Amino acid sequence: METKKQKTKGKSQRKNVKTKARKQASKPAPKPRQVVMPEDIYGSISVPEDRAVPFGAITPAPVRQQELFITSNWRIVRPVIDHEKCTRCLTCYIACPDACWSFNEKEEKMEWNWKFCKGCQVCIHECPADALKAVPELDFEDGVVRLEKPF
Amino acid sequence: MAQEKMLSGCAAAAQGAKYAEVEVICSFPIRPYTAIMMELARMVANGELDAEFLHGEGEHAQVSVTLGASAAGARAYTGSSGVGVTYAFEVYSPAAGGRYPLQMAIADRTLDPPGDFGSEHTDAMSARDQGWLMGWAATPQEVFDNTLINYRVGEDPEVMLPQFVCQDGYFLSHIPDKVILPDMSQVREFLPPYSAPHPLSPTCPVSHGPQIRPDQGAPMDAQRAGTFLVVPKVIKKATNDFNRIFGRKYDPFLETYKMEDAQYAFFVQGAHANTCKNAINHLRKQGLKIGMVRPRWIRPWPTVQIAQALSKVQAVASVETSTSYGGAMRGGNLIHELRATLYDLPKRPMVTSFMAGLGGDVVLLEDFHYMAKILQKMVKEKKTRKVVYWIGFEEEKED
Repeated sequence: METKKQKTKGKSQRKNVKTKARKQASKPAPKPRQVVMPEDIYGSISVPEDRAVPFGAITPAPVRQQELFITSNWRIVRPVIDHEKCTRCLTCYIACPDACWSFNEKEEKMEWNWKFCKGCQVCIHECPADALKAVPELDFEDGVVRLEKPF
Repeated sequence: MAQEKMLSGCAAAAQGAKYAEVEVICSFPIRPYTAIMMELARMVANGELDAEFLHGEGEHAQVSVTLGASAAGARAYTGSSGVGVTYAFEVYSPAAGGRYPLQMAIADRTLDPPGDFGSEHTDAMSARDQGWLMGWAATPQEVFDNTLINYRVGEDPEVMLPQFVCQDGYFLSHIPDKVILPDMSQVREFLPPYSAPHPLSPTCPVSHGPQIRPDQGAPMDAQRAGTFLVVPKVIKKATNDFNRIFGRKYDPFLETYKMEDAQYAFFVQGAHANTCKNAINHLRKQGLKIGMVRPRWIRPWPTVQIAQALSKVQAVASVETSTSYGGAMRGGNLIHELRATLYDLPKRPMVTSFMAGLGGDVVLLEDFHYMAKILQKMVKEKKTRKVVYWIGFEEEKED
């Protein structure tokens, strides 16, 4: 009902601009619909470009490994290999849950991937030649526990 | 040609999925939602619908299967009820975080302890903060319409989120009502085919759901929250388009009933709104200026619209159809958000809540009359004596 009244008022005002001007001096113009809460009460959220994560964390598929999400920063110890003792039996390669051991055919020795090793020590446990030992990350200058920003 | 049929909520949801031309469906039985899958299985079997129909080994698998299908670029559909909804819980956040616009129909059912099959919103409400879009329908027609609107909103490139399309078990899922089934050309105009921005594909390989680092967690949360700031705009546009194409009159966010001059209001979710409207007609005859507000969306919560709609009333009754044991009001879920919504109003109404429609209980006309009485008393005494009333279980019944 109220809105109808306002509408008809608006029409008559539009018809006669002069009377409108005169009336305005004595009578305040009809109030617009009161907005009780602005639409922008949530403000806005802006994530700086250098911290933004790809949409849905969907990324181009890696050919060998996912360089965009390196995941070894919670490692406390790392496996260190003794190449003299190592028999190249590839048990570590089979045992590693994250495929962090690979065989370098050129140099004929095992290679460790620091980017994805979480320090679970399964390889150390499984090595039949006792060629691996766990060394605390703090003992290395590039130890992940020393990093201020994870990669 | 558009046609009119008598359909239950479940049949309407199945028709909605059919008209949305879903490509992958994953089922697992649990009543009352099962009727949706029965309908869809029939449609696939007799060639009405060309879709892949899979049997999950549980609800967790159902959502996982549809997540995978969505990742591969298919329009995917699943559903559940009660404990099935909670069994799939783990997959909800990944589905939303990975931005898979699959749809899950929920026909509400109580959670266990054991085996009350009745309607209660606690199952779906417990999943409300997992980053999905969510809303309740009140009629089979609205179930059908919401199925289409949700796909349209969820698949918007700016949104890309999964959707819970909820309906009350039994009250809505198993009671037939008139449903207008539109012309296929109308649906195609409203809902274009789904095209995933980064589908799993051998020709252009991508990684979905890789592990992110701890320092990437917060920005990802912020990005997901930011999406919900965009959603209302998309809902508005989609609803307006829907109204134009199908000739309906939905408000994008709220259904309001006789709120123009209302001094009191019921805040209701789902199909109990129909009883509520009847009660309002009775109460209005007795001279009480009372109305109803029913949110069509729970996520995103239509804060601004609810505040606007309730800005002039003196007292609001929040009709709770879900439980929040030990919550701030020791009752349901809606009142928490309702009170928070109204807090910043210059003249905020009094708000109390009524626990009703739990465990399959019907909210009776007389219950709404009782609620109205309490509201009047509150305003007269200028005091909210209690924030929660357990209908039928109060030591001293106020009158």
